[in-house]
Amino acid sequence: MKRAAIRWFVAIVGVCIAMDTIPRERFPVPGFQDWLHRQLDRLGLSQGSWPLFAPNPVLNNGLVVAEVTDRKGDSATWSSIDWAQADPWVKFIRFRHMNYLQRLPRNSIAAGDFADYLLRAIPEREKATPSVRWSVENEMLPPVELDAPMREVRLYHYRDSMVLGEGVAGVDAPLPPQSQTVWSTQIGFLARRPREP
Amino acid sequence: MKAFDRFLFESGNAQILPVLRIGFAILILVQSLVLLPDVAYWFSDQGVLSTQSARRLAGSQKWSMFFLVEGEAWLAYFGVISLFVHGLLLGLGVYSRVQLAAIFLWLVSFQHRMPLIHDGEDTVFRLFAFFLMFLPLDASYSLTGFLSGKPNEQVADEQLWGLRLIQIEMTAIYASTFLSKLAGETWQNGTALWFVSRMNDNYGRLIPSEWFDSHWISQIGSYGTLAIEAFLPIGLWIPRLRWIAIMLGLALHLGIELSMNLFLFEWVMILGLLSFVPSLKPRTVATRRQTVVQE
Repeated sequence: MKRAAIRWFVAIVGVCIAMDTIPRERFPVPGFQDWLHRQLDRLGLSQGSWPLFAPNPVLNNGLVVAEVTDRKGDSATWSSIDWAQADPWVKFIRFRHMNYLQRLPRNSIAAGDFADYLLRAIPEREKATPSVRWSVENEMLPPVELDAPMREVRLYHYRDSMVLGEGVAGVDAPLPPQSQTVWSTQIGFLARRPREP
Repeated sequence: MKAFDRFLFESGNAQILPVLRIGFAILILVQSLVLLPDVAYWFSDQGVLSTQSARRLAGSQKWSMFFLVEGEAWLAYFGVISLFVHGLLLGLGVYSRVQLAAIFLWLVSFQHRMPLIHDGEDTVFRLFAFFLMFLPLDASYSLTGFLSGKPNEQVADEQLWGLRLIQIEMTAIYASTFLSKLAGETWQNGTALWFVSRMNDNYGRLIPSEWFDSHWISQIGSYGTLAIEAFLPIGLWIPRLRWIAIMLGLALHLGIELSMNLFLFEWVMILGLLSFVPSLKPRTVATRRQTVVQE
């Protein structure tokens, strides 16, 4: 009796894992796979397909940047960690932050909440760099400290993309070495949060 | 049916159980310690995602302990400290099944409350916690065994069927990633690792990205990765090829660990690979003869 139960259990779990893990585009009935995934999700047992660096590696290089205005109208800029400059230890202990910032630009609900958080957290918990100001005589003025609470936060994604050659006569251009890789930055708007009265 | 029974009940390796238990416990401890400073930031309404938004992202089918209490930071601290304590008790071998049940509960809760910080490795952690529950992990090198006067209790092969669940999971992962990569242009033309080395966020440890400026290194790495991932789902199940497969899998994961920052992903995968390690018990002449007769 006990053996029979184990046989059934292993067979069912094994088949469910296999079906849930097959890449969606290769599964004959994607609708059934979606249904199965939802049922496994309910149990906390979903696996899903495994697209690590697949079908192609996805570059998430970039920054999340917030433009902040305080209650007097002075502005400042908050910026996420620049992972390209961070050392491996920081990347290890702040790994969750890296995951979060990679996914934030693709999730409008989370982006809105993050802007809300910055509205509450700057300047006490999150540091923002006050913007440079100019006088009427075109002289640089020293930045002023932000005066809480913040009046508005605008959130942007600065995404770095590689500029690759087109190639000639159907032959792909050779990929450039690291030192000669050219990057271009695209700025995408994520969310705006004014302080509610 | 006999073959299936042999597969489930007669071919496990009990020697690997303490390695899996202690290894998994160490990874849980590291996870919880890294989470601890940011608990309120990730899992409470004081942080970056409100409970209301987390519920919207999770949909109706996902559950979490954090959905029971509205955004309170104390519950998040309680959860992470609990995870640490259960991990510690698991490592010591104190009622391991209970610890794993609690770890599973908290991992699901954390992952559903804040999906944006979790990735594939967390899925593996969650499923391993579930599968390990079906193994007699306290049988050796455990405090429970030591206190009950049975420090190294004999485990019957019949009790080791839970290892098969971990092995099936590992096989499914390698097969899935191989099939997904097959469709990718960069994997087909051998430039995938060149692009991986340009991931400024994840890349950057001991292997410099400049190595992949060389086209042939990028090709060897890309095609080598594909070949290993194609071989593992088969090689791990064939007794004669198993050690080769385990070694290739280890080389793959250690190579990634040396070059990329993927937190504990490589280590949990290495733990999964260890579930395939065959028994190292020296076979007696009698059992060897028996095997020959059976063959």
